[in-house]
Amino acid sequence: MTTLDRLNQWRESGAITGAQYVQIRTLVRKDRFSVFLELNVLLYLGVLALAGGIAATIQKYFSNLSDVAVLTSLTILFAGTLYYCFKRASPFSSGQVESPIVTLDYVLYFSCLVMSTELAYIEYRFAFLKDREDFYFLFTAVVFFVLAYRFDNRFVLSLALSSLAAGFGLRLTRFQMVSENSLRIAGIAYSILISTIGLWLSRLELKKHFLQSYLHIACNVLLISLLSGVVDRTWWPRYLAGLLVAAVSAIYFGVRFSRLAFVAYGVLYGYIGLSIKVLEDSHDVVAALLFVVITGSAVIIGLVVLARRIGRNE
Amino acid sequence: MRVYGTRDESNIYLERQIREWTQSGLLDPLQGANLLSEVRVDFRRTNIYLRVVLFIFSFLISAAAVALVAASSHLDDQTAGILCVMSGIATFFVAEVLVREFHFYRFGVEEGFAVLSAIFIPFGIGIAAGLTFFGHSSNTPMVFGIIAGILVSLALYLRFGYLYLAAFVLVGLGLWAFQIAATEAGKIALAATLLLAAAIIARILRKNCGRDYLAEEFGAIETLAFTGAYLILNLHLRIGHEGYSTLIKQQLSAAFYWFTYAAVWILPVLGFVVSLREKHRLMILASLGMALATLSTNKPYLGHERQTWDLIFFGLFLIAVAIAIKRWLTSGPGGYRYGYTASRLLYGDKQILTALGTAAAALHGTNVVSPSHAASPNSLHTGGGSSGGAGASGEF
Repeated sequence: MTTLDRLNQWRESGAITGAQYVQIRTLVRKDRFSVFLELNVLLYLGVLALAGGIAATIQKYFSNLSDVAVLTSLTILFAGTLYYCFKRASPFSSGQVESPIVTLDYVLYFSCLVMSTELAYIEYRFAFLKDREDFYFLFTAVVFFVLAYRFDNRFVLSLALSSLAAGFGLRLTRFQMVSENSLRIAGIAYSILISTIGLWLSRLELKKHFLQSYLHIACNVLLISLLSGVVDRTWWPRYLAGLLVAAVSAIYFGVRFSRLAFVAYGVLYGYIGLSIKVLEDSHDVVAALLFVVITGSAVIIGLVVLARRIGRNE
Repeated sequence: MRVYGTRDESNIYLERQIREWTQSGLLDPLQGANLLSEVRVDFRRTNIYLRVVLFIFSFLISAAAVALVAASSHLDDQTAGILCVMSGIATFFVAEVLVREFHFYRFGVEEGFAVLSAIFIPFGIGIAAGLTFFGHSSNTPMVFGIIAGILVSLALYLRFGYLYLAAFVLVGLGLWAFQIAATEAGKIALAATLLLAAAIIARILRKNCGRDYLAEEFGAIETLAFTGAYLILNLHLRIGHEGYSTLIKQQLSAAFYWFTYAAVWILPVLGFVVSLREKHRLMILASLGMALATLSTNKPYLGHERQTWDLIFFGLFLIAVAIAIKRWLTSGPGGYRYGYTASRLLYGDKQILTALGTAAAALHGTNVVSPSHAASPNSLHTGGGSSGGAGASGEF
């Protein structure tokens, strides 16, 4: 029996109305087909390529161009795109706002990327802040946060969060297992800060739908920071304890609020951290494999029980 | 053949649709709940996140268990091969029991065991046939292993319906072609032909299939196979090895090289024509990806040097295409043309964009570059990233 057969049955039994039947049937038969997603993907990739191309061109040919020419072009581009966004956007609302036109989100995103490029150029050419370039990141983060909230734009919110992370000295490429202690502490501080900001803004009913973005990023940064500390020769006990507390908390709150992604984060990071420490100095392959089999089985049993208790929906 | 009943799979497919219609406002919540109760199935399922974790752990413990036996027994190659085959058979039965007795459906655990079965059996056959990983050996054991992998993965796909096992089959076909053909051109041509044949078979099955869930599966396989053929034919997409592309080019005749060039233009167009006519979403997205890959590899194909402004034109082109399509669709009667609309109809599309927006933070995170003031102002560092997103950076 096909979906259309079922729809017919439901219409005849009165489970759905005639209007609903017609509406859903057009979707099932693909008489109506949306390319909304495809257009968004094209725009996103287009903006990334355009902004990347502009930065790469300036990078390669800046010596042939005057500073005035580069800065004037970038400023016009930034101001023009931002003006367009303010002119076309819906009025501000603390709730979720659908963009009135599909391109608006990407024009704003492009505007933010151009601003980043321009600030990078200014700093490189004139070195106003010298070694305190973190202020640039913090400045851009603040601007991006304001724009993300004004225009309800999740891409710009991600830019803001990663700019703030850069302000804290965090970059994914720096997150190696040999990273410095200060970087880990910065990571922990960053994740606490953004989760606090996210929760606070959510309590203020300001773009509550952004909270998930804050928490996902905060949780991952926190757990990665703590996990990287587990291999630290000196401070590992503190990091391991912190990791286990954070992992258990992620699992607990994930279960409590039915956000199972956090349960997955807690289980994976916690298990990896614990295993690294247990197996670190083990030269006995058989014992190591036995450890994996026993603890892995325990995790599976635990998760199966958990899955049975909390169901499947998030 | 399928371990799951047709009615169950149809109901699970319908359940997904009902949830989507309810979230999209096409059904009210009460109606949605009523219809969901009609299609309820007696299977144990879980959320995607727990499913992934359960998959990882079940895979890990079974692989570790077999390694444990091998490590504690000091087996020779042949016995190790037999152990792998036996383990593969055992993990298959575990997966089977988990489904039949415990009613697991896409629960992660049974999937981990089934996938291990698809790895263990061919791996074991290869080792038992003389496959060695260090030193030289003939490619016969490898061919045996690959053929076994194709057959076992196909059997497991038919039994459990996991799409990634169908993907294993397609990858196996490509690997097999690369093992048995003598010349570079022969390898590429044979692999692409096999994958295109698989795409055609999947397409025929999809067209003649009376069940929606199966049609969806065959559509995905068709897309995977078609994309695989494209990836093999596009010589300049060999990841991370510019020198490798040059080497390949030297080994191929000019005629074959230009044949592949023509193919990488024809395939996306063909994909678009077919998928737009049939409104086949996955194939539309895959054709879009292929078209972008063709555009980005066009210059290397022609032997021209890439310029930094290529990216600008590329970006402008994509934006212009998106805006033109959107405007054209929007200006149609009721915002539709030929049944297509630029508006969002289903909630799922929005969810995907939300996930993309959050995941973009990771992309920005990798692109943040640090300032390098030490360099002379007239010698900007050329190895750095672009602005890339995450805030200003002093290095270009």
